[in-house]
Amino acid sequence: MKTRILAVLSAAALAVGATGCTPTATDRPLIVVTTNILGDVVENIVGDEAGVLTLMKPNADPHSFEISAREASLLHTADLLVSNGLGLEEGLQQHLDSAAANDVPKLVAGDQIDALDYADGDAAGMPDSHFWTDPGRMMDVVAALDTAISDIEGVDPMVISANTTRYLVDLQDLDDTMADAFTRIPENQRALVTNHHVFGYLADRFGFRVIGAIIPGGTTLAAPSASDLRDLVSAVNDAGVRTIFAESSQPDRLAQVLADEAGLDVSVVELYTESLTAPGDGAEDYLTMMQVNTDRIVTGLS
Amino acid sequence: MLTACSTPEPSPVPTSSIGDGHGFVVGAQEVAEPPLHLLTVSRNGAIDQMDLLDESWAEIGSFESVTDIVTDGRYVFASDAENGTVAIIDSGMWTRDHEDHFHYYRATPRVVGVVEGDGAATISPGSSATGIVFADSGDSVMLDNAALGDGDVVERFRLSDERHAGSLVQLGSFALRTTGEAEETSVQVLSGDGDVTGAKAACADAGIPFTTSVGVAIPCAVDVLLASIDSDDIRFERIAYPTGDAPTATSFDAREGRPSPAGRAGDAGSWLLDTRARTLTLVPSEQPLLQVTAVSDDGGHILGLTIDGRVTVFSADRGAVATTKPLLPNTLAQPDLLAGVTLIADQQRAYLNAPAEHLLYEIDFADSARIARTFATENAPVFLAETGR
Repeated sequence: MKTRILAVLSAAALAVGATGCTPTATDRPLIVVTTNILGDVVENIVGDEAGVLTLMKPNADPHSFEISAREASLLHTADLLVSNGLGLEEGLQQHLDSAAANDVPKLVAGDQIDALDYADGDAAGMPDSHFWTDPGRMMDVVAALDTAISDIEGVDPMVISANTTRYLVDLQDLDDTMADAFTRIPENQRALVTNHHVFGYLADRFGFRVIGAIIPGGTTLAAPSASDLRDLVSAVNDAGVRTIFAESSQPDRLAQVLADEAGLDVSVVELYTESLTAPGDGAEDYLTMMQVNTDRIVTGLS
Repeated sequence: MLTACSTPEPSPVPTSSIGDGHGFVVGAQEVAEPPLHLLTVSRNGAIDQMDLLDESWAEIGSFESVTDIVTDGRYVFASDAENGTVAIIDSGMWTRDHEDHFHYYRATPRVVGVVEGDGAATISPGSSATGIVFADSGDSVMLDNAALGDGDVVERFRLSDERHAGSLVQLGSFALRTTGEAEETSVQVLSGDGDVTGAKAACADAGIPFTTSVGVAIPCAVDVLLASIDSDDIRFERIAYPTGDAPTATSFDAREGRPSPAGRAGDAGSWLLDTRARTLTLVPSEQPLLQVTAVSDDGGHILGLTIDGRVTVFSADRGAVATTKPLLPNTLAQPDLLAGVTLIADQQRAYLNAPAEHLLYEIDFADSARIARTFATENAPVFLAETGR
């Protein structure tokens, strides 16, 4: 074990030098985390007890981001590897598998929660990997992280336990805030008309209906006809809502076309889905991301 | 401290080769919807691409001569039968399928490189590799798509055969190659490295393979051969035509990734091939069709370009349901230009090039075949491909 820690440290020190960071402690264990949402959560629990290397950059796609050769080698020498699982990190899977084969201790978040399957669409029956839209399930993951991180040689379990308790309070506050905020939405309007595919867990926890809709793209919006809008218009009418939560390259144009062609007065609002942003860009940590989405949903539906 | 390193600068060391073959490119930008573009090739080989969202044009490059183009939605393969070459253009626009959802990317278009061979090339795009067969040398070449994304032309394998106009197509971790000629043609299964596995199926007068969400459909003289993956092995099935006089299909086409493509039934109309149900259905047309493509699975909708230059929408149950006016009167009079005319369908719209008219049409097939937009081109759009799908 001792030899391995030394190997980790030299690799970590190299990484630190190359990225221009200044190490304040050189005797810390290393935790490698795949997604930036889990990276933020792990940092909250770890504090200064270990180094945390998050592989996924801000605003990236968790399914397909690339890692450098240096990061791949660090991953093999980590003291703990934290991943999302449930098929999310498809591009990284071979690295995760080979690290596991090298006996790197791992924690797969998806194994710690009550996972949901997609109800419909091409992926029906497959597990939905986007558990983080439910803070309750994130609390389950945090409880498991407490144990896994405390087991790492060189960290102080007392500190980890205190950090975990503090962060669980934050998550409970978030959960309470969300539940409270959503009660302001009339029950029959708790419907997300959306092309975002990540809100199944949020809907499950807080009693929303998710109404998947085809959002007309740029080529249709350029010269639209009623048939282009039929699916979305009927989804909006069924849901009885005035806001659709859509990723669209031209949200204003979409709202205008819906007004002109279908007489629908709706707003088009985007939510944060699979990645944190860079600091200052709106969703720099998990708690902020969830709070911003909650505010947007409540504003849009009340 | 280490925690500050959770968002490191882009690494100067080479990145590891991960990914599932669609190839994430450093420098690509993820966008909210498919970055759909029309790519055209002029008579003098100029490659231009128009953004269908804002109608802006960009010049990508130029080749000495181009005799045909094929695309997988991202890479455009421009063949030159006289020089025996295939030039590869990365349109920089693509869509990744993640089963439960899609991701869309935009990067700078570029010319990737050239594959050398001899004679006309038959090009068959696959999910992670692209098969090319050169008719005059019989060479079969399998290109690695992920390498193309990195800007490299990498041949997974190259096999020599007797000179013949055959095809090579990827299917899962295998490849399918036609061997022999005319009624002696068969389809053999190769490993991903190009080794002959021994499995094969007869397919007289094999036509152009078409990949659907089910497998690869290869038109044969009297039936259609369907190859699919069945627990790590290739399974061959034969799909029979219903009895009747309509000529069999020699190629199939459909919008990206759908299970039911359509093929010309000679002058009798079109064949709708359902690779899920393993059925072929004749959809008759009063007017002979020059080209066909399928747009939907459930309604069985097919688009056809009639010999008088209209785009007609057919329903498998009800026949012709809508049609445009004649769209390319001058092009119809010039057989050399007509050869490059291509009718392309995506989820919402169809596109057609009218080279002699210097026009591209956008057709809303679900709204009575309305012409949604018409784009004037500076050069004659002799060949057309839709990218970003």
